[in-house]
Amino acid sequence: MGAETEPDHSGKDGITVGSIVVAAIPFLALTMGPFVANRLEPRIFGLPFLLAYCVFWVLMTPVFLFLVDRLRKR
Amino acid sequence: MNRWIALLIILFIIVGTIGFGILGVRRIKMSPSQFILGGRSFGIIFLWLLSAGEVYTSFTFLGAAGWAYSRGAPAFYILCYLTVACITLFFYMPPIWRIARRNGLLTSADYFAHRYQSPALGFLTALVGVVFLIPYLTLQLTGIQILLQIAGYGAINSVLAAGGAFGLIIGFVLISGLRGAAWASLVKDGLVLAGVIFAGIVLPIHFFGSPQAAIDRVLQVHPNWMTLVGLPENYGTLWFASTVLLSGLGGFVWPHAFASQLAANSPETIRRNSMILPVYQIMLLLVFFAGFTALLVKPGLKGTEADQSFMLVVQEHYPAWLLGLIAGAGCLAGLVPASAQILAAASLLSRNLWPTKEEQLTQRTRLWIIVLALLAFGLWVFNRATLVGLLMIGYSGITQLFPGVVLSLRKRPPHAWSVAIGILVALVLLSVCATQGISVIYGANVGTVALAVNIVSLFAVEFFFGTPKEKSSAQSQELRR
Repeated sequence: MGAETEPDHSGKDGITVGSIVVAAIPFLALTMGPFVANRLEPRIFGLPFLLAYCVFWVLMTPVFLFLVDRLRKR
Repeated sequence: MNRWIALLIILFIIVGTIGFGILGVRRIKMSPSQFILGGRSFGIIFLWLLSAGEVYTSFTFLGAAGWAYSRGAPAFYILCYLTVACITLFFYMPPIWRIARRNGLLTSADYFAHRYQSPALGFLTALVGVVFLIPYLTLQLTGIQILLQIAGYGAINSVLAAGGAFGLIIGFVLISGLRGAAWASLVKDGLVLAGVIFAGIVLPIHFFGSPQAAIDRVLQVHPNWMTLVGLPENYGTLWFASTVLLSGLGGFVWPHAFASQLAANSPETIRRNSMILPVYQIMLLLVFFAGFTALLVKPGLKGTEADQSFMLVVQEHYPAWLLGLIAGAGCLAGLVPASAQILAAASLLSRNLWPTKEEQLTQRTRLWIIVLALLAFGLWVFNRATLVGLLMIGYSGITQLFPGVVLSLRKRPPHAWSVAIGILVALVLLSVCATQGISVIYGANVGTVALAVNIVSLFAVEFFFGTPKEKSSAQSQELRR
């Protein structure tokens, strides 16, 4: 594969306790979600609350992962 | 007349996609690394297409709607678990990618064998991968068969037709390898998106005025449909949480998903992909709307018939050409992941279970693809009824490799035997539960319970029998390089 001529990807991944804590927020929100959000009301944009909660955290995950990436590169 | 229009459109879509994929790889020489991993050269767009292409299978297209139809709120777990999978992927895959690149590792089992310095563990994980990929493959066949049956208005032999479609895609993957699958994903993702927008937005608007109105109507008929109320009506909160955890952790441990990430051109690409992949999940919301609409328009489908829910609505209320387009998109949703899955399973056979020389690797992998295709088709034809059950075991089974993946990244990984025993204990537990017909223990998914048992056994073996290892310093340095 000619690894020598390829760009160097060495270096640590910069994963710190802080970055794991940030990533743990959406992780826990999604896995533990039904324990806190298993409700029909309030409806959000017509969606039942449980579904709206899942959608919200799915959309927030990229934001949190972006933050982790920032922390990592610092 | 109608059925020929729909079937011709499907045939055109499948052949067109294959042609497009072959065009994409026409000048590429198929070395093993190229065939199995696309030459580790996929940038963010290609990696995203392939990941999205593999993640959105027949199960997503038909199964998620079917679950919204037959179970309600438990279906939301699909939305959550794929996102959890992306979060974990962000952390564990970049260092694995580097180790794999430096050592020319092509499969997930290669990685286990290398990192734990144990070909035996590589063999075990390869075996687990192949065994659990076969039911996943046959699930795609069932999805395609359902679509062809509906598109043929019940007048053709859909089992044979599904076999024909499967044969086409096998021929395709033999020629084009993983890179071809990524090109085919481009067409597939676009068509599936269009199909899902139609099914999830146009259908509810047509029948009820808006998706919101459809949800209101569902709640009038089934007040508990949008929450987890527990057995017997649907599954409870603990089932939901444990299943999100189980499937989320296992999401990219699947051999084909693992390989797709190794195909990235850098760790940075893997991170970026796992950042943006969750956004694509929103498509699932529309799939749920389609399932809810079908529940109101065509109530009363039982068991596996629920998987046909919104396609039957399209068949009854819309012209054949539209049915053909949507069914064609659905067929691709089965065929494209199937091509990546069979390629991954075949490479486990040619690399790890029955190793062959580097020069013969591409040819030998092709041979295994044919063998596996025949095997999967044969199993499917003779034993279609129990496969949904097998898939549940599949998800439970593959996640048992997850502790070994994560712990391999410690500076001092556990001993290969600890990992192997953890996996074996969990698999024995799963098999016992499967033969007893148990899928839920105290409200939790049986796979998650097995995962906990796996981790406990792993650490117990490590604690009592693990000896200090001299090799660990080399292993820990490998991470930093």
